[in-house]
Amino acid sequence: MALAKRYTPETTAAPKTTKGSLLYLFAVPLFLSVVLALLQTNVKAFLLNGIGFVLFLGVLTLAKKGFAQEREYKERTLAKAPKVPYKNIAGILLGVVTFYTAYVAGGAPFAKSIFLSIISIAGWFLYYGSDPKADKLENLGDISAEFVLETIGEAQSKLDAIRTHMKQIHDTALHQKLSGAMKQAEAILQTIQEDPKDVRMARKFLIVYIDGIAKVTDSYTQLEEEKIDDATKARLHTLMGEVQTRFEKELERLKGNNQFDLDVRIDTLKAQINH
Amino acid sequence: MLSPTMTKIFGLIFLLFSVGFAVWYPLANLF
Repeated sequence: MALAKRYTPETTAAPKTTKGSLLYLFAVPLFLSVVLALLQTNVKAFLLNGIGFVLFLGVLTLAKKGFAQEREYKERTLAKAPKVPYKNIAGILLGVVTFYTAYVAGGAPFAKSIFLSIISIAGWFLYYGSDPKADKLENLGDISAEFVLETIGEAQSKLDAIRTHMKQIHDTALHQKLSGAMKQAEAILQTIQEDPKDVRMARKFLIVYIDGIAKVTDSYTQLEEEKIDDATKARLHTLMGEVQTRFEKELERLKGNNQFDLDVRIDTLKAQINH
Repeated sequence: MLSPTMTKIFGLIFLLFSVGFAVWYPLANLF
């Protein structure tokens, strides 16, 4: 029984989408033409096609970056628009590559190449769309967006750290308590994202408590689990129990605060209607 | 305006046609 280990499946971050696989398809003929030119020892064609292939890989890299940025933006309740519009840049570069491969490397007529280039850019924006432009920042009140995003980001990275530590904790009871606390912490973060005005109220929770837990789990995982004495373990269990209660209260408080907001708005509307 | 699905289909056709042709030229020259 002592050899039994907790089953902790590898949790991969956000599932990678296959968006952009179409682009690999286009890279295949270019790659073939590079190989073929090499086999024919056609140096000029090899160089020209090689440049085209490298440029195409550039489009792929930029597009992947852009898609990742977009996915993150869509997943979050609060987010700023991407600073660098990688997807748009990739679209323009695709136009350039299309022109280059057709005109310079392929020797197609100039007008035809320009035509293909324009169509490819149009196709890119129709199929993949452009980068998100507007910030997703609602309900901010008088709090600065940077402050909210920074606080949430900081809390999120600490939660990630705790999750990594948790993989090394084999004490079932402790693991359960921790994962319970983590669920609540996530719920609190979500509540804050929905109503960022609460961030001031919850900052202590976000910074102090989560950081505290991260430090505890960090020290815990640095020791060998079997060598930790029972008294310390017992203290840790009590502490985690307290953490859970504290988190529950925090969540209730935040939800209560939203309830208060609703009450105020109902009263305001009521007063306006009755006037 | 086109529906999002139609926009995607048009985009895909555009992409396949233009980039497909462009990458075909250098390869065809070698045959």
